[in-house]
Amino acid sequence: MSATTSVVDRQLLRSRTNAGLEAGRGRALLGMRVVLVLIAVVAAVSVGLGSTSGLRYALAMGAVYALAALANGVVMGGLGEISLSTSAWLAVGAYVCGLALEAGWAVGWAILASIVVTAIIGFVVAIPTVRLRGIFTALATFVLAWAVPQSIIYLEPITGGSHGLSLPTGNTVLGLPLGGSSPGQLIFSYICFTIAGLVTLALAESRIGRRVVWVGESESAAAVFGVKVTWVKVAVWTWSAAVAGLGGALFALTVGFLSPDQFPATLGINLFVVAVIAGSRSIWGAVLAGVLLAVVPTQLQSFIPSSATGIIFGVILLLALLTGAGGLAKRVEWLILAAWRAVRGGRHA
Amino acid sequence: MPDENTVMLAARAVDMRFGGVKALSGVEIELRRGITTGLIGPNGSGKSTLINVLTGVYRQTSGAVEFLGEDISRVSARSRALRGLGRTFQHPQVARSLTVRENIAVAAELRRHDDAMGVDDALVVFGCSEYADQLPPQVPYGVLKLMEIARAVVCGPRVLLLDEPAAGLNHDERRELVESLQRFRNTHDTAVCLIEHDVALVRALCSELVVLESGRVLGRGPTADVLQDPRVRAAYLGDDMAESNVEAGDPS
Repeated sequence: MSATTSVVDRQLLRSRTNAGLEAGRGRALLGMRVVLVLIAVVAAVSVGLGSTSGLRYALAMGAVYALAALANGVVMGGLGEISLSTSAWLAVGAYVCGLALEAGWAVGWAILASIVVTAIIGFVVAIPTVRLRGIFTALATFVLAWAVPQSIIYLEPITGGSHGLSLPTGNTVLGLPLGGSSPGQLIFSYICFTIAGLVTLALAESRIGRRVVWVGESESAAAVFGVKVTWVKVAVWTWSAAVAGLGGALFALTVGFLSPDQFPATLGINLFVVAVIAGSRSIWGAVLAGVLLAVVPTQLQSFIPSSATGIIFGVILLLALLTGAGGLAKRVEWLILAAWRAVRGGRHA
Repeated sequence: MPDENTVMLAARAVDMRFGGVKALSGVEIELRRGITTGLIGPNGSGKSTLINVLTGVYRQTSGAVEFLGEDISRVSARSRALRGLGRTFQHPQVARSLTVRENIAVAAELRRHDDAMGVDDALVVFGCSEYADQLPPQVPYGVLKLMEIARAVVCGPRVLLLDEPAAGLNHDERRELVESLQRFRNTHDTAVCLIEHDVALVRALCSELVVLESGRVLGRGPTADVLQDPRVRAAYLGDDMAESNVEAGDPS
């Protein structure tokens, strides 16, 4: 290969990776993003295994919120719509799992039931709500986030209402004991996240994902070209609900006790905020978002009075927001690419 | 297969009212296979409205839209697209997180038959290759306008409706547009309709012309004849026609 060709190749690659960085998607950076997902997951699990049970528990909850952030990102990154209802899907997933475990179902079937039921409810709710846009979508999802905990109280005979629902203990998966701060729960939760995250990434980089982005960013053109935009949107919301339903199931297994006040509408807003700050198209960013939400406020309590943690956490989030569109994930990816180019450039010079 | 000069898409006595405003009245237009028809007229004369009626974005108040002789007035915009109506927009409507190539590829996946132009060929024919892997916000406006045409073409349209493809383009981009459409025309017999203001560009590309004024057809026929029509000159063109200059080929 001549020197000129290799320069042209490098420039072409650079324009592809630049586009991939800017858009938060694209095949050029797919390999790097898969590696980053694995690094983030392995880091969270390793830290959790080597630390106190308190931090291990927080990191296990981090996997739950990471799935919720992923669910949020599917809607925000795919369709550009604001979903504040992820807390509602977490609640549905958690209660379905809890009730299934109570009925004596095996853990695997209980998780599957959570995913399926949440997806079905997500599908049904999406059919009317995808007709809304922008602020109205946000409002509709907020109402949902507010209504689901109320419904749980109302359905007291099944859910235990505001008294809550204690789940059977001693759950295992493939011999691993689950629940609370057990290492098994930590490992299992992050395995679940990794599977959901990589499948979502594969979908996002497929024809399906491209079509979703087309609908999200240029709906009228997609419709005129013959895309069934309503069904594309319904599919995205359904996938989002299913992912959050999985998160809900892990919430139930980790916490072992469910009550409606664990899923306030403010949780839906917090999940949206951290998902956007971490980067709504980034799968490894979802791990960052989950850990941010689950770990930082609880760990801050060791250093400052608990009444001030909200303020400090708020300041941290505000500073993170200054990194702009694409969130922290894009910023970190940019640094990695810059370092990579510096090393490669040095070698070629 | 339809013969040469078959009427692919037609408006028959189309009226379109928005509230009390009559945007189109009794409009007749025929788009023929292998023919590029120019649609000209002053701002507000109903050109874009007509395109939107033809593609099904609006439903006409009365009259009919026919595709290959069949009344498709009740057919949705989506179904019309799937039957072979391709279009572009006055302001490019693109996905900003998809590269230029991907913006074309998403449309190519909806194609109805395999003999439509491929994505890579379309990038070359419409002069977008250089920008194929870039995102729309980093690409010149003129390239986005051409990309929109490429996106419509890869679906294998039987009728191609271009809404002001040259609006906002500079001199060089206009020439690229004319050359691209001529390259396309050389290998495809798609019926093309283009809305345009620049008479020289219309002359270079269109063998037939329809002039709209205040929602009515003021004149129609071979481009040269229509441009000589005193009523057309008086109503729209003025006497500055001779001053327009686009160095491009003969009418297709």
